[in-house]
Amino acid sequence: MSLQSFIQFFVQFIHMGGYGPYIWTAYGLTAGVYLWNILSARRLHTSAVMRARQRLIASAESQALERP
Amino acid sequence: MATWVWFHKLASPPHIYRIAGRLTLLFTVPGVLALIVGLYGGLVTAPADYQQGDSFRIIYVHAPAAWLSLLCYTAMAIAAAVGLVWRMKVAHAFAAATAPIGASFALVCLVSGSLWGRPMWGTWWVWDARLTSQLVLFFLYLGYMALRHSFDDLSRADRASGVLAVIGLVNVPIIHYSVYWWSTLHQGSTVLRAGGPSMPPSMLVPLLLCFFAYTCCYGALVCVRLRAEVLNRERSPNWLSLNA
Repeated sequence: MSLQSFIQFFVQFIHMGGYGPYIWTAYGLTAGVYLWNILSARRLHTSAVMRARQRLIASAESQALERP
Repeated sequence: MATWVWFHKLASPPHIYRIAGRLTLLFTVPGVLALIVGLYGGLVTAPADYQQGDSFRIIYVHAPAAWLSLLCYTAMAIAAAVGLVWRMKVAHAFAAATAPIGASFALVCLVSGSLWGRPMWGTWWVWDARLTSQLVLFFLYLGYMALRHSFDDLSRADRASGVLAVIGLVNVPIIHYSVYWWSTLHQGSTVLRAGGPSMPPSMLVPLLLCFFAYTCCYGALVCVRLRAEVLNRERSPNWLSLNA
């Protein structure tokens, strides 16, 4: 495939027969939602692990204080 | 007997935390691969529709999102019912982990459908039975999450939101059968229909791959969220020290 035919294919691909703005907005939104889901799930898990670690430290400290 | 042992094991937070961790990768790899191949097939190799032209390619993000929004709600309601009947906290945690994922894909379904409707129907929105019942589903998700956040006490939040999830399940068959029960502008089922799918294999295979990919991605996402929910609920330091 020559460079010129590749550019022609690419332009047609983006244009999508005149429906490009509708199609790419739909795909862009989907990509955004996937990204949000991945990042929010990871953030939620990381913060849960951090809180769990803090609880463990607090529990260990209170047990140490209770010892005579 | 063995079934009940398996069921009781699912109620154990350390067990479910461990299983969810293993399943995350198991869902992610095939999900990402199927998504790449499915979207490539849908955008590049599938021919343009003879009536709708290239605009039909929105189906590769729209239909799997619709499927996932229904799957998520059904899973959420079943988990909530299990949580209410057997007082299983892990089941409520699963329902809570599913809700944001389902809501986000219900939104994708509504917006992508609207983006397809504008060039095909000449309008962004109609108060058609399928569209309206899907919008109700989106609001049910929002209501479920809002209700959970309105309680400080987690067990009361679980019960109240669980009841809403179970009642809202009635909307799922309404969405699916709305195109048959009422005269709707929305087309009938393309894949799940009597007499087989109405698409040629070159269009159908990428669509089926996208359905599979979305389902796997839901599996991976819910596992990560479930682990966080389980950790937030667990107060026993012994097993936390092993996993956190």
